[in-house]
Amino acid sequence: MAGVILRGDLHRKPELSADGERNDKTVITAITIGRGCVISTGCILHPPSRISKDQMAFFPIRIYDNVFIGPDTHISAGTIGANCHIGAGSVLSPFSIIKENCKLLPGTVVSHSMIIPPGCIVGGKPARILGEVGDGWGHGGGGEGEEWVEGGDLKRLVKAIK
Amino acid sequence: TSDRSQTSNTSSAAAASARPPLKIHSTAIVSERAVLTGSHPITIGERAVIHPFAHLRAEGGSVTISEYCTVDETAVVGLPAGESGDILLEKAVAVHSGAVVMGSRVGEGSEIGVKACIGKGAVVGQYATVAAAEAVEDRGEVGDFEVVFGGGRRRVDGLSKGSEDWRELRITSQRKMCKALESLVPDGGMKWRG
Repeated sequence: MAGVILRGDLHRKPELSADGERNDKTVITAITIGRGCVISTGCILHPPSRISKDQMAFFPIRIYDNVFIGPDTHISAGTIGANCHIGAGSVLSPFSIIKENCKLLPGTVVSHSMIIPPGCIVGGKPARILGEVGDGWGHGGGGEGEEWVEGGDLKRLVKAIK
Repeated sequence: TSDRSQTSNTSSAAAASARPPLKIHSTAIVSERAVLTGSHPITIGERAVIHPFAHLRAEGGSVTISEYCTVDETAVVGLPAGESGDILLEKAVAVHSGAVVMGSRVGEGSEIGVKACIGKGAVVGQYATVAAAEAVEDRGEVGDFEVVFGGGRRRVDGLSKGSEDWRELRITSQRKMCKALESLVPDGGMKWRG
């Protein structure tokens, strides 16, 4: 949506191969976003960085399918699994890993390198596991007047956003 | 990077003619899409990196950014019009995305986390860390080596306090960040130096 900042310029530099020639076949993708993802207004995707082989290097952000990211969220996570729902104003610190089917409440701050197991409801600063998403996570969309549910297929929501 | 909005080009054209006095080191990187506003001087030191959409707000007073500092996108450094006071970021300070720094001084080697807020007139010491989304109140103080976390809680980082090597590592790590960014973030060139 509007006002999203994707720092695709922050990527790992390609390594020179043994004979000094740049290996042009290596494609470094800074940010990968799956199908049906919705990234709301004001979000920032800023690839995480750490020292690797004595230099500061950036690592990719990988977001899987049907992830809903609420407005004004900051993402430096390494991975966000499929069908997650990230609440507004959250902060996903560098190298955090959110496994699939999680729900992050608004304002959650996930700490550096934190790993959130699949199917958790998470909130707070720092993020704490508050519960589990029910068996119905992602099911139930397509009812009367209801286009999408959290954790469900977001294709229709994506189409609805002009 | 994606376009922030359609109006940003016209407003930056207007701002270019009403630009603050700039003193930018030849090795600093100030992105073309950085936002520099106000009428007070802005000084940017050696190898500092001002990311696209970072906002240096010299409206209430001058903004001085020392060597090896980084100011990430959408971070705001400086006081708005209506307030008055100068801001100084000492060397190797990292201000992360969305943070608002209105304090008078941030000591060397400190880190201001994502969306943190440093209130007006506050002072942050050396090698301190303000964690993500934390707030330091107006005229508050964060001591040297202090960590602000968990909704206002404080602790002293014994590692930074006790080990000169550890402190040097923090500075070195920030220098390596500036070096990596040098080849990834293009400078605004004549926009800021012309």
